[in-house]
Amino acid sequence: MTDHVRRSGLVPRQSWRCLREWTLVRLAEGDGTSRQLRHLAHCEHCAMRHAAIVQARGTAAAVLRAAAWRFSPPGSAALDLPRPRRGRAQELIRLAAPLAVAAGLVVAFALGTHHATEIGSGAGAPALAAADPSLDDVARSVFTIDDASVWLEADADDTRWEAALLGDRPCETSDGSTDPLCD
Amino acid sequence: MAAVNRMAEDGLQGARRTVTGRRAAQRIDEYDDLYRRNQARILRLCTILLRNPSEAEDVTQEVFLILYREQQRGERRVGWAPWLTRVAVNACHRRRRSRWWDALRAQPTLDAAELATDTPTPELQAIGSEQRRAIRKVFASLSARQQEVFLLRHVEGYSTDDVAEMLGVRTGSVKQHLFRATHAFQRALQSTGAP
Repeated sequence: MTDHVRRSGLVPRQSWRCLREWTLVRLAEGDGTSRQLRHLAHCEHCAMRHAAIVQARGTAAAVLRAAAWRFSPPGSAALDLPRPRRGRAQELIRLAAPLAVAAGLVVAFALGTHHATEIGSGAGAPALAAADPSLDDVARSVFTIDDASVWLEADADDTRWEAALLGDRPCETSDGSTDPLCD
Repeated sequence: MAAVNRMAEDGLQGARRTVTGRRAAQRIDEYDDLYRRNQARILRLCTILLRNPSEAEDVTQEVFLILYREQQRGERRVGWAPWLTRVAVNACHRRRRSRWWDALRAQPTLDAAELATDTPTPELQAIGSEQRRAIRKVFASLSARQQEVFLLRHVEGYSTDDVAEMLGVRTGSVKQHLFRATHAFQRALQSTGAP
């Protein structure tokens, strides 16, 4: 550090060394010893550095103060009791989070199924295949009638649909004739 | 006799109700007063710390909700304003540390919002736009604690000891944070050619 003070001959010998940056900031905060203050009063170099610190600090505070004030005009506050309010972004996140969890579960389930299928190709394949119901099995358990054409006829009336749903043979065929097996 | 007792009982209950009602009204008045005097300040503090107006409004609402509950619980304090500041700073601190913070920062920030305005205050007019930008950039690069300390000390005007108490840190730590923040601002301004 340059020894400006000794050359200027303004201060006693014990205060010759210029103040450190840390000390100058502390002085700017109103915190320092009388000896440091005395040095500051007599050392032009330190006084300039101190002034620069104070100015930088003031400028920063002014910029921050002014920038923030734009969002909070005085008097805009209503006297209502506060109600919890959420920002749009947070609201979106709140809505998206359950969807993301659901998607994650679906992916995890799909991966798990895939993994089980891969395992199923090994030694325990028959057991797993038996435990894993195919679409045909499901269809058989739901649709109990064998006559698939009943389901395919576009002009099937309500009676026949009902009968089909109940698992019975339809008593009335598509041409209007009655089934002899029916009562 | 029973009728007299009943009348006395009714009178006592009525008096209790009156006292309770008066206390509740007092609390609401006190709350209103605190809200009117501190809402803008707390919102400003949160806006700077979070750099997101919408988030700042949320936190401000939360802070005043906490105040309301505290008062409903019958808490009494000599200075509610420093308490509010401490609650706000801690709430901002927690929010900034939350995992959603990075995602939320994609929202309009202080910089964008300020640049969009066209009526700088007289105080700002003396400061060049380049310097303003440099200050905001430096402020954004400071650690959360440094930002909080600088704001409380130089924007809010609390003493170093008060700041330490509010943030629950040692006074020495506050001074260190102040030193780093001030030094960073000074370097940034020097690089812009400011005197």
